[in-house]
Amino acid sequence: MRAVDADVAVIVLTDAANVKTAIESLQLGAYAFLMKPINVDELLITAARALERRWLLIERRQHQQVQEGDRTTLGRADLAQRDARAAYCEEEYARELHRDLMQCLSQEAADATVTCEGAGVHWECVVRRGERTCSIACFDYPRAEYYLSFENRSQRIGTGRSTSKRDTMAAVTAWVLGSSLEELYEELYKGLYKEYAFVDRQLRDLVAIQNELLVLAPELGQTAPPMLYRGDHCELWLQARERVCKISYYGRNPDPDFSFLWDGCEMFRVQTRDTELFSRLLKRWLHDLAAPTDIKSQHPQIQMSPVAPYYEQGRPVEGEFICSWDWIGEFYREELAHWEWSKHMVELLAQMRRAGFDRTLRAGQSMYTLMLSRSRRHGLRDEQPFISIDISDQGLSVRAFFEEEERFVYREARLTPELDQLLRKLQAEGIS
Amino acid sequence: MARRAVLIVDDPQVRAVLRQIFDTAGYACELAADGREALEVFKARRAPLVVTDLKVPGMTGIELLRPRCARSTPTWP
Repeated sequence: MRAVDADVAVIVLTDAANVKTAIESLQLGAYAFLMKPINVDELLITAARALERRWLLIERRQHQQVQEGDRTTLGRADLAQRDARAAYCEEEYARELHRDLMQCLSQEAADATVTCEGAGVHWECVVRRGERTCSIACFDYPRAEYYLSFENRSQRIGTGRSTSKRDTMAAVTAWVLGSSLEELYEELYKGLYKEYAFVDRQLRDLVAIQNELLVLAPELGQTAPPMLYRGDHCELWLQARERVCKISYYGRNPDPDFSFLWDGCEMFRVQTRDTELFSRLLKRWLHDLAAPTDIKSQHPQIQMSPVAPYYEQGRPVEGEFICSWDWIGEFYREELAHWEWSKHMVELLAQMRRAGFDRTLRAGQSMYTLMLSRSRRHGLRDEQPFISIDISDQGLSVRAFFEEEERFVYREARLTPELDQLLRKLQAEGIS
Repeated sequence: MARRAVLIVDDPQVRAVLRQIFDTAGYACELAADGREALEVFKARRAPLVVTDLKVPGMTGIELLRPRCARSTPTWP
C-alpha cells in the first residue's frame, strides 16, 4: 500500500499474543496499534489523529517543496507536475477545473479572477467578477463531482451539484457574465441549454411538487400548509398537529423521499415520483389523520415501522423501547452469532425482558457491550445515565453511570437480584 | 464530505461491526477480507486511512506496510 500512497495512515488491530509484531508495525510506519477487544472511542480518536497527522505531513512536505522550487508563477508544465503529486483526487479535480476555467474565462471575461485553494480532501475553485462569485467545491464520489454555490454581494443565491465539468463551466461562465439564475432556468425551460438543469434542481423540483400537491389535494393548504426550508439542502415540510411529512432529496437520489413522522418518529418512508400516490398518502396522513395500519391495508407495498402499532395504541415511548430490544436481540443473535458469549447475552436479554425492563428501558450496543438507558431516541448524550453490561468468563462486568461511575462484577451471567436492583434504579430516572 | 477508510478484517462479523462504527462516525468505508482484495480496493480508491488486522489471509499487516508491499507471485519454470 505504501507503494500506492506513501502517506497512508495505518492502524493495526492485534491481540495480546502478537504485541511484538505489532511494535514492528510501528517501526515500519503504522500510526498506531490497538489491542483487542477494541474500544470504540479509542479507535475513532486514533483514526482522527492518524488522519490529522497525515495531513500535517503532507502539508509540511508541500510547503518544503514550494520553498525549494523557484518562486515564479507556476506554468502549465509545473502544474501538471504538481497534479501528479496530488495527495487526493479532489485536489486533482480542482486543479484541472482551475486550469480549464482560466483558459475559458481568459476569452470570455478577462477581468474575472480564478483561484484554487484547499488542503487534504477539501478543495475548491472560486471565480470572482465584480460583485458576483461562484465557488465550486470538488468531490470524489467516486468520480469528479462539483458542488456550486452562486453568490451575489456575498449572498448565496443558488446552488447546484453536477458531475459534468462542461456543464459546471457553462453555468459558472454564464453567472459571472451577468445572467440571473432565473434567466438560466428560462433558457432551460426553452430546452435550449440543458446544461443548466442541475442548478437549484432540488429547490425547483420541490416547488413543482408543492404546486402539484395543492392542485391534487387543495385541502392540505388549510390543514397542513407546505413550508419550504432552504439551507444547504432543501426540504418541504407539511405539518398537522404531531404529524409531519418531510419531502427531501436524500443524498444523490433522483427521486424525492417522503418521510412520514409521528411525534418525530418515522412511521414509513416512500420514494416516488408518482404524484397521485403521494398526494393520496399525504391526504390520508395529514388531513384524515389515518392510522398507520389503515394506510398499510390500502397500500400493502409500504414498509411500516414496527413502532407504528404502539403509536396507534397510545403507547409511543413504550413501543420505541420494545423495538430497541427487538433490534438488539437480533444483533446479538445474528450479527454477533460467532461471538463466544452471544448465547449468554441473548439469554440475559430474555431474562430482562421477562422481568419487563424492555417496556421501560432503551437497549443499545457499543461493539459487544450492551447499553441500557432511559433515552427515548437512539443515541446517548453525555449527561444521560446508563448501565453498560459486558459478558466474559469472569461473569458480568457492569458499569453504572448515574451521578458518578460505579463498577460491579457479578460472577453469574444472569439477571441476579443485584442486577435487577440496579436496573430498577435506572428505571426510576426520567426519560430524556 | 465523508472521510474514506479501508477496513481489512477477515472475520465478517467483526468487519460488519467495524463498518457500522466507522459509518456512524461519518466515514465512507471500503471493506476487504484478505490482502489481495485490500490491495485492489486500495489501488482503486486511495483511502487516506487503513485499519487492518495484524494478520489477514494472504498478507500480514506488516507486509501491507512495506514500501514494496505487493507480494510477489511465484513464477513457475
